[in-house]
Amino acid sequence: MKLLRWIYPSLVGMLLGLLQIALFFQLAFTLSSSVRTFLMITVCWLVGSVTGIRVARHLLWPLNSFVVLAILAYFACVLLLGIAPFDTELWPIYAGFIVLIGLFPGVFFVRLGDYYSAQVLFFRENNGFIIGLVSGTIFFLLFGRSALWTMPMLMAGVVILCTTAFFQPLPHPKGDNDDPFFKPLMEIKP
Amino acid sequence: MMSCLNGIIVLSLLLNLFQLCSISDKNAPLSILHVNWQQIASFLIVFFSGANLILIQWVMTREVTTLLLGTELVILLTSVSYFMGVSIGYLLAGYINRRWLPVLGILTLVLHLTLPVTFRLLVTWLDAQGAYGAAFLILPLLTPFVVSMFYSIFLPHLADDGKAGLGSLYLVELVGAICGVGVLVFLADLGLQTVYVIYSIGLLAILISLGIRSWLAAFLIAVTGLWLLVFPQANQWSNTLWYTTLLGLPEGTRILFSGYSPYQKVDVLELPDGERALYLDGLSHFEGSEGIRLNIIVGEVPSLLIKPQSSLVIGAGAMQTEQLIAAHGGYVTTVELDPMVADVGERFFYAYNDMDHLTNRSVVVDDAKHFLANATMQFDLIVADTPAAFSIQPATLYSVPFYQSIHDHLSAEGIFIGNMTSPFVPGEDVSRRVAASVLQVFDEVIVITPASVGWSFIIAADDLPFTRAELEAALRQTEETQFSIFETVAVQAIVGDAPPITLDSMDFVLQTSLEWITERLHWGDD
Repeated sequence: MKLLRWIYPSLVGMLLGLLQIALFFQLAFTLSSSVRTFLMITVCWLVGSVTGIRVARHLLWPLNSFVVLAILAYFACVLLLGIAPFDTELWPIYAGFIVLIGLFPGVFFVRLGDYYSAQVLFFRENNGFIIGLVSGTIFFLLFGRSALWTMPMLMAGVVILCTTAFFQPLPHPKGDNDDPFFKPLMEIKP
Repeated sequence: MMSCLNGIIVLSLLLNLFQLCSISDKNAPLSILHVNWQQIASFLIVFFSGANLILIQWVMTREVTTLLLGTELVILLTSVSYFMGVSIGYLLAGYINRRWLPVLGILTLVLHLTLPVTFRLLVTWLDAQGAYGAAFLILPLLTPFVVSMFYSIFLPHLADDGKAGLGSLYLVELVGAICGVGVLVFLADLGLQTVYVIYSIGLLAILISLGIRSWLAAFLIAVTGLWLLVFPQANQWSNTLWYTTLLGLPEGTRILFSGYSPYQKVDVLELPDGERALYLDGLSHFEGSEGIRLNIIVGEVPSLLIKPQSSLVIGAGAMQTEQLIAAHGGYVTTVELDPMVADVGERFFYAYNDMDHLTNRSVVVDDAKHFLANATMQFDLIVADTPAAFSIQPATLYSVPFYQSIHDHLSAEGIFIGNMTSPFVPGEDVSRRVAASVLQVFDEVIVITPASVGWSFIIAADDLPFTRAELEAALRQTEETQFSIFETVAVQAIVGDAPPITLDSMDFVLQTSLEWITERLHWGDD
C-alpha cells in the first residue's frame, strides 16, 4: 500500500503523458500537422481539465470512470481518423473528444488533493508525465503506431487497477449506498 | 476552425473572471467582496504563472532547438528539460522560504528577458573554446533552473500553505495557460518584443502580488521598459554574432528578418556579396548561389523534359524552384506548412523567385499531406523539396503513404521528383530507404546524383515520359557536367533489403538524429 501510494500519481502522470503524445502523433499524421492541431490538443486538453476541476465534486462518478472515458475518447479519435483521414471538417468532434480526455486530470488533481500535499501530488505526477512523454516518443520510433495504441491502453489498465486498490481500504465517509446508478464513491470526501 | 478556437479562448477568459468571483472549493459561491486581497494575490500569481509558463516555453523551445541545430532528439531533450524544471519547482515548493520568492522572481525577470541573447552568447563562447558539444549538456541542464522552475513553485506552495484550495488554484493556473496560448495565437505575429511586453507585465504582476516594495516595483518597471526598447537591437546583434561565429558566415552578414513561427525560428540573412540566405531553426534552407543548383535540378530539369502545364511544389523556402518551373509556362502551386516561411519567401527572395512579376503561380499554406488528401486536381509535375528527415514530422513526407498520395495526384504523363537530402550509395541507409519507399508506389524510378549538389534526387512515374538520353541532355543543358544516373533495376539493386519508410518504421529518425548530434559533438575537433 505504501508503494502504491508512492507510485500512484506517477502512474497517472505516465498515462497522461502517453495519451498526450499519442494524440499528437495520431492527429498530426492523419488529420493535419499544422499548428491548429497542436493548438486544438493543447487548448481542448486545458479546457477539459478546467471542466474536470469544476465537476470533480459535483459529478459523483468514480475516478476510474474518467479513466475509461479518457481512453474511450482517445480510441474514438483513432477510429475516426481511420474512417475519415485528413477530414478537418471533423475538427469540432476531435476537439470534443480531447475535452473528454482532459476531464480526467482535472478530476484527478482535485480528488487526490485530499490525500496528498499539492507539492507531492504535482511533483510525482509531473515526473510520470515526463516518463510518459519520452517513452511514448521512443517506443513509437522503435515500434511504430502499435505503441500508440497499446501503451495508453496498458497504462490505463494499470491505473484502473491501482485506483481501485488505492481507494479500497479507505472507509467510505457516507457509508453504503444502494443507488444502482451511482456506486459508493470512496475517493470522494464529503 | 480558428474562430472555434477563438471562441474557446474567450469562453475561458470569461470562466476565469467567473472563477475569481467564485473561488471556493466547497461549492459555496462567494461574492468577490468576501475575498480578501491576499487570496486575490494568490490567484493573480498562479494565473500569470500559467500564462508565462506557456510564453517562455514558446521562446525557449525555438531558441534552444536552434542553438542545438534541432533534430527529434533535441526537441525531446528540450521538452524533457523544460518539464524537469517544472518538477524541480514542485519539489522546491515545500522547502522554499516565501521571502526568497521575490528574489527568485527578479532573477527570473532578468534571465528570461535576456534569454535569447544570453543563450546565444553562451553557445558562441563555448564554440570559441572549441567546446560546442558541451552545449548539448549545458543548455538542457540550465533550462530547468533558468526557464521553468520559478513558476511551478507557486501552485503547490500556495495550496499547501492554505492560501486557497488546490482545485481553485489549479483551475486559475490552467485558465492562465489558456490565455497564454491565446496571446501566442493572436499576438505572436507582432514579434518577440510584443510577446515579451505581455510576459513582463505578467511577471511584474507576480512580483507586485508577492509584496515587493513600491519603489522596487517602479524601478523594475522602468528597467524592464528600457530593456524592451533596446531588445530588438540586442536580439539582432547576438543573432548576427551567432551566425558569423558559429556557422561561419562572413563578417558583414546582416539579419534582414528573424522571427518565431508556430513551427520554428525563421531567419533571413543578407551576405556581404548581396546574396540572401534562409535558415530554419539554425539549419541552412537556401544560401544564395549555392542553393541555386539544387533548385535547377528539381525545377528546371523536369520542366525542360515534360513542359508541365500544372505543377505542385511541396515546401516553399526561397521559392526559386517555382520560378524555374513557371518560366516554362503552366501554372505552379506551392504548398507550405509554415505561413512565415511562405511570407519571407515572397518578401525577401523576389530577386530569386520573381514573385513580383510572375502571375502563373500561387502559394497555399497547408500541411502537404492534408492538402493532397483533399485536392481533386491532377499535376503534371510534383516536386518535393522538403527538409531532411531529422524529426518525425518531416520524416512522414518520405513515407510510402505520402508517396502514394503524390502518385494519386499525378496526371497520366506526370512525374514526381524529390530531394533525397543525402547521396544514394550502398552504405547510405536514409537515401536507400527513401528509394525503397518510392519503389513501393511507382513502377519506374530514376536516381540522379549531380556533382554540383553532392546528394541525390529521385524521379518517378509509372511510365516515365522521357528516355535516359533525354534526361542526360536536359542535365547538360542546365550546365550540369558531372552526374551519375541509376535506372530502375540499378536502383532496386542498391536499395537491396532496405525497408521502405512507413508510419510504423520511423526508427531511422532516431538514428539520423543521433548521428547528427554525434557529428555536432565533434565540431571543432579538427
